[in-house]
Amino acid sequence: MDDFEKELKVGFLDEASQLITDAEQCFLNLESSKDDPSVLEKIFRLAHNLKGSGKAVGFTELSEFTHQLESLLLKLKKGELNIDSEIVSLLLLCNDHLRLMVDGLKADIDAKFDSTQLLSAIGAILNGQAPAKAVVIPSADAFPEEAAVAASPIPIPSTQDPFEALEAVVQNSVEAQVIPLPVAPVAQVSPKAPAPPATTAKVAASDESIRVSLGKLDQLVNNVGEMVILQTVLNQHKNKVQSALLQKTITQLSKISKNIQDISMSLRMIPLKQTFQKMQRIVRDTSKTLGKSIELHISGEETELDKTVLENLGDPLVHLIRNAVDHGIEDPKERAAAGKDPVGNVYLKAYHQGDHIVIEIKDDGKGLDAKKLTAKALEKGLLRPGQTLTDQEAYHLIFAPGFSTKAVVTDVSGRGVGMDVVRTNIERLSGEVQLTTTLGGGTCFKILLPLTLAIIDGMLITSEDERYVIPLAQVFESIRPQDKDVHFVTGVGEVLTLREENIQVYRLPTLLSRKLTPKPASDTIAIVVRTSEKPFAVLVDEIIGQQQVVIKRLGAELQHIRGFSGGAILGDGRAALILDMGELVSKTKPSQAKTSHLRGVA
Amino acid sequence: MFDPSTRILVIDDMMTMRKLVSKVCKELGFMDLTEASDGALGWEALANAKPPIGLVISDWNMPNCTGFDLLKRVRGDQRFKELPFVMVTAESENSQVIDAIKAGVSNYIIKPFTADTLKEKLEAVHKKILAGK
Repeated sequence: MDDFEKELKVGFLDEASQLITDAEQCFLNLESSKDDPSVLEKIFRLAHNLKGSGKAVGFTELSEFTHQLESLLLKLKKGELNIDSEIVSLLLLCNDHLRLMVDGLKADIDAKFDSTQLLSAIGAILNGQAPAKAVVIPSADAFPEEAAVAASPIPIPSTQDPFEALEAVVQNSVEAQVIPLPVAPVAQVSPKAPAPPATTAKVAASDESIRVSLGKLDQLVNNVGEMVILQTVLNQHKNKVQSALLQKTITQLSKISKNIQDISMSLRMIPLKQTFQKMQRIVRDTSKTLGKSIELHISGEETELDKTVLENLGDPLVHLIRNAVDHGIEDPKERAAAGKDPVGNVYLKAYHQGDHIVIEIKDDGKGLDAKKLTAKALEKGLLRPGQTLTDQEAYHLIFAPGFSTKAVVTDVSGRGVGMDVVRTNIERLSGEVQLTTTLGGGTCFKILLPLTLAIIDGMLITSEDERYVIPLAQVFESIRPQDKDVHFVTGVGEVLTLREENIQVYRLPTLLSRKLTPKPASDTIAIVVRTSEKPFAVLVDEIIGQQQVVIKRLGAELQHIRGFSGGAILGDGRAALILDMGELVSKTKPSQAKTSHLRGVA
Repeated sequence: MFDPSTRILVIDDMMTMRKLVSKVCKELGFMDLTEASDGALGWEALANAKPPIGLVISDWNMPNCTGFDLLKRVRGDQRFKELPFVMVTAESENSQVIDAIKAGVSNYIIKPFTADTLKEKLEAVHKKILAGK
């Protein structure tokens, strides 16, 4: 195999993967949009491209399989077969098989596959239900001009170029306003109307791109981050410069730096589309297994997320979707009894909200029952008898390790990962899971994710002469407390009374296991954090200011230390640790606080 | 045969096919190749090309604007009335060839094809142009 052939094959396999992904989406849309010919049109084109190009680059097996699939699609297109759930399932299986082949070929370009089962399934449908005028599948080698000429009643000199012959036939027929039949038998095979004209002229071709290693991108993003920080320093000292020209240059440079930052960030961004599409398949398969009828409504799939965030989002999302289908939506009978539409709905939405990207998973199922949850937690020993929880606290029980609200663990949701893992995974991405629920009305999970992981807005603080960065996203407010607002409560520790609310207080040196110089609360600043379900406040010495920082990993040796999300180099070149407030507080000993049993749960 | 300096526009929504057609063209000695990934982009490339395109090799079945729609548009434009336009089709699309001929396609070719086949087709197209002059 020469280099070009190999390059062509590799390129084709990449392209094929995309086609297969697109096709899956179309197959899933088939059932819901039976009357929309454009879906079948598109599927047909995808299969066609796969077949044609596959054959052209020499993947015969793939091409032949697609050819059979195309024959089946043709029947659907002609209306000789009805689009039903069985057919769609078969099409999806075929699509899976194609993906398997493409992935297999990617690993080994000479790989062979066993397609007999699917081929005979398709064959059975093609033969078994075919109407009397069986569809003629043209042999791949049959050139139409030859076929046409062979079938033509009009004698054509054999020396003539077949195209010219055909052209002559057509021209005669145009004059006579009658189209003769020479090509009719072939025409029956593919009475394909030209695709509808473009509704939107998409100028940017999706495949006009180059591949760059993620390592290089990360290097770029990292360096750009450093540049942005230096730019901040430069801006701060701009006024010390005498020359007006220099000042102007700094201002312009800062604008360009911002642009470069935005562009380099966007390089890592990938639309959610593919991830959302997978969910559609999961809802379909899961609801089928459970005998439920569920519609998944997707919106905002064009929203883009950082590649790393996206990769780690898949599992939690699958879990939440499965949960919604399995635990959230009731059986059709139950729904009917409750006066609901037997068809359940799951909504998967993505949108921007401030500095965050929000992904919403909402169902119109039975909602969470605080009483049942509390009873279950008692039974599992997660709560002490007699302990009372607010509804909101009870809902958060589902995030407790080992907590499962369904007595029978089904093979759909009971896969060993619980909601606690979902939450941990999201928090690892500096994200947050929120939950709202209405009994009988449904549950809504909101995943809040940062736009990027590389640069954060930080609040620079000092504590015991050390500087730390607290991610601004974790800071709800900061206040200078009065001494009378901070009390010591036996068995609890220090408590801050803030607008009639009592909030657990921690002193930062204690959290960091450092020497604590006793000082009155009025000499400190309370940083109030409300990202977990119980708010808390951390006392620090001073706030220096706010600035953007590039998160640097701490390195393998320090990875296991909890409470820090990384390090940052500040404008003056010195380093500071970035604190993860929630983690810092959760690792402190339970004896510290009354709320800790809940924190363990949450 | 066409002059090797003829500008060729290759239009196909599959990158694989564009590469393949371009490669075959290069094997035939053509040096100036432009690619477009659908009919709409093909039209843009054609309409804005300087120096002008001397030969179009287009796929039929593409999103946005099909090769057939492009052909009609091309023939509808005074500048491109005589522009050699070769359509690449798959075997199952042969019925459409009739439509393509009516719309003024110069020739068509079935994929997959070899360099020899393309050469034959191009020679036929060229001969016809000479005969027409």
